[in-house]
Amino acid sequence: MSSWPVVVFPDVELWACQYLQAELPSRSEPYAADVYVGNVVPSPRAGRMVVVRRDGGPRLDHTRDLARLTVRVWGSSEQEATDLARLVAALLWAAPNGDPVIRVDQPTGPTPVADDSRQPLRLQTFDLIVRGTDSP
Amino acid sequence: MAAKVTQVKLDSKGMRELLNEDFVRDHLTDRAGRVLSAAQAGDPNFQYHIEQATTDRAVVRVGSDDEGVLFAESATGNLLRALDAGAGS
Repeated sequence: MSSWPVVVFPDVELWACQYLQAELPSRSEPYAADVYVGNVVPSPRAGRMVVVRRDGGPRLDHTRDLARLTVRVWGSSEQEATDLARLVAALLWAAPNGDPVIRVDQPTGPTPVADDSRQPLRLQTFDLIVRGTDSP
Repeated sequence: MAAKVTQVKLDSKGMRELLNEDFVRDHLTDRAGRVLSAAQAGDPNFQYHIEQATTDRAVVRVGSDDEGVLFAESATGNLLRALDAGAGS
């Protein structure tokens, strides 16, 4: 029998998608409206898209996990892509409340990337430290 | 009963010197080598390399100057995922 509690970490990719899906529609910025948020690029593509992907990251200890997230943001113009990427970053930075996110760092800010689709794209990366929960 | 207070004073100059010591750079270079191997194995279409740098401390970076590598990184996260190979002892 284990002497340590069984701690399970949240699906951070899913958490980030649900968090942004909930927060973006409540914003007043015009570029925050009608934004597709998910973990894959939809078909057909949307004019405004936020696609979140977990790219590894280690378990820090028994109760904390570090999730590296790549967040890609597309807009219908270069300015819109930049503005939406900045808003997404601001929302993620505002997320830590301990349930489950404890801390957010951003190794890479909004970076223009030449996308094959020619749709304006910004690439950002985030490190999220999250708390696990006891699993009975 | 009064609580016992222990004060720790950090020697900033000493820490700066420590972070510029050769053994720190060697340690980072060893980890960067593991990241490089993982990145190269993950995407052989690009040439990755190690860069030595110094800010206020020894810095070792892994990157690529190849055309199209940023789009590939955006699509796959290959280099980001390779970072895990540099963790641990």
